[in-house]
Amino acid sequence: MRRSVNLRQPLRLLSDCSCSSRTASPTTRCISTSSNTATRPRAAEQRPAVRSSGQCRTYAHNPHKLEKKKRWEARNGLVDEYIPETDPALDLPELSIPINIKPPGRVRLAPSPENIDDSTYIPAASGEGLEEVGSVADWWENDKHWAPSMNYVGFSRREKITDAAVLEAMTRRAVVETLAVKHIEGDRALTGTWMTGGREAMLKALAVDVQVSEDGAVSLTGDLQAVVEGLKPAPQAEVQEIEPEVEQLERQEGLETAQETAVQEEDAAVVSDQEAYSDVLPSEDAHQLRKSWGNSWKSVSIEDPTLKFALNKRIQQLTGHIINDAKLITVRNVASYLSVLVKPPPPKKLVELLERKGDLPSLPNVKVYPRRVTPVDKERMVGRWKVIVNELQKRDLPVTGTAGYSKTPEKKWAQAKP
Amino acid sequence: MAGNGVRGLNEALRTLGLSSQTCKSQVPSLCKRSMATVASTPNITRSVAEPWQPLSTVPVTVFSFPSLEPRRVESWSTKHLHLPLRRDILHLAVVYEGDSHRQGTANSKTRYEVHGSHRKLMRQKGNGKARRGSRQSPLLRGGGKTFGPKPRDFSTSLNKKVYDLAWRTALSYRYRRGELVVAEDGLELPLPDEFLALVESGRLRGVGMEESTALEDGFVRRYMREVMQGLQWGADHGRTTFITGDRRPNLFTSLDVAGEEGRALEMEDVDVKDLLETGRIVVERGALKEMIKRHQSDLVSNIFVDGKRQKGPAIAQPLVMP
Repeated sequence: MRRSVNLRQPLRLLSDCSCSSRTASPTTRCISTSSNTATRPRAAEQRPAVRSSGQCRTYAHNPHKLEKKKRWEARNGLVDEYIPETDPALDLPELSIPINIKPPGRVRLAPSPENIDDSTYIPAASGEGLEEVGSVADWWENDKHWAPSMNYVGFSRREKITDAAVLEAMTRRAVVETLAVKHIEGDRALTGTWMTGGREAMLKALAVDVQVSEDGAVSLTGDLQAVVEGLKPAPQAEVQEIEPEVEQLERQEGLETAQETAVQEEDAAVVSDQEAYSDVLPSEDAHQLRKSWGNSWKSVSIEDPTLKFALNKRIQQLTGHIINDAKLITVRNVASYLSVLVKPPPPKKLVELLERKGDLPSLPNVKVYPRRVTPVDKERMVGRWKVIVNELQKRDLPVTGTAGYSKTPEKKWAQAKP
Repeated sequence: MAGNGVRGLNEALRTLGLSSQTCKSQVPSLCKRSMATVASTPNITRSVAEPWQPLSTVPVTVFSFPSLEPRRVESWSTKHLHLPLRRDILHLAVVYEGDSHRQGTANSKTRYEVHGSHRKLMRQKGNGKARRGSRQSPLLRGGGKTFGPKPRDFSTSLNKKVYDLAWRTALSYRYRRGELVVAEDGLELPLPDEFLALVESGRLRGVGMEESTALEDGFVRRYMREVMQGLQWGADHGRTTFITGDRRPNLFTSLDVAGEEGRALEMEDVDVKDLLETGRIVVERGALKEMIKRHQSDLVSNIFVDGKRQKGPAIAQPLVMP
């Protein structure tokens, strides 16, 4: 099966791609080389649906066509022998960008038996006993060939936080940050992308005091400006290095490209930021903080959809929990939000549920096992299993199963089965 | 004795009185019977004073893919995405779809269609055997089939309004369970630049491997697995169905290769059964709008009454915009 590749400029209207119309075979598969399209769909929408005929081309390996033809001729006896023209190991095509993953090198061809000088050499007639060198099918399953940069990095925290106190502290942090942004920068800033922030940013946000008056008005006391600044991307050396390239691109392709690059930089900043953010609040600290805060701050209202959106988004970023919309319908304040967020993960097995409840295992006459109690388990419990195994082995009988023999036919006769 | 009887009657009447009834709820429930199957009473009663305001819209967050960053919130009608679960209607729709997907091409030959001569095999009498007509007789080996299958149409009918309701019920069921993820328009899997550079240069198809896609497929399979594991959407989490407006090359090819992680469908190919399968549905915003638009025949009408036509609730009103 031949595969065609759709070589188009990035962000050129994906919906317009119709590779199948360009290829002869309906089974031809396509890969679009436009990268990161899904992360920037708005740019794709804004662009006109320009599509020249040179943007889509088949993936037929023209450089190798000639060589392939020669090999075909050699195989069919049209020429005496196929000899590769250059050393295959040295003739690897150059790549447009440096890569971290390790593709296999060229396949080296063994010399044909006639060309071997060793007179004692006898070609093998079958594959039996020959050394296996493997295939390239599982090449990428080897971590040595894979690069960690290929792994998925999403918006949410990769591991979900499960500690109730830490979750509450993170909620408090998110509440303070969203309210601070709303207070200082207004509602428009609530829908933007914020940096995850390190430990310092977290401590700054947790230090802010939240007071809710009886009429529901919320007052924050603390360094709100610092909290808001902590959410913005810090100027980095890497970004400065990229800048000359950005300028070039701007000159070449205009403002649109510059916007894309800015998004790219932002993505990169988010990634590096998330990697750096490895330390969460220790559980003991979170417990102490929870005691000092009390419960009054949980009456902060989040009925405003924009505020609720920003809070939920921040919680997803900080804790890895994605609270779905159906659950958010009934959420009115922080307390009800916490009741949705702080829940132990559902038990996967019945035994986990029973142990969590604790009433059944505590009874003196009840035992809970994680799996079925088999006849072998029962023998083990009374210490008879070893003896049974020894006796069976002494008589050269199978320990478990029937060693391929059928069950006793007398039983069948007794049950009057056919 | 009589005095005791009157006192007992008085006590009995007192307990039936209104004042004693109101106190009942304040008595601590020490003697309340606890059962293993006890269920909390739902808060379904409402004071007459407060007006009945049922939910008319529900929020839907639109995510970017594959980062899954929430980008905006839209308000959708409860008649589109928050319908009560009707298993009976879903069953009707799935059976209806199954019926119409039956191929119905089974075909057998009757005695009149089997090839060959219709000569009488042996004479009627005198040879000590059963009488025989032609060799196409259904009683003989190689003969025709009596009442055998013939090509037919198995499809059944279902009222369009019921089918459309089933469609929206399936979507609502997913929404209520948090298994409906709405992605921004242009849902596509971005493949890494390094891989694309390798594909372009032909490095993944060296000498002797021109026809083999093993290296490309191997890379895509692992990459897709990493993405789906990161999102917790993969094989360990019940697979995922992606629905897009039209075919997206990278996403569809990758899921063809790594089918254990999920499946991708064009909107035209989706039916109710597809919406009920796999762990979650990831649908492009535009595709969801179009699906709802096409399946709301029970909400809209072409009949004008007093110059007005029932147009149905609005689809996707912006609630929080970036």
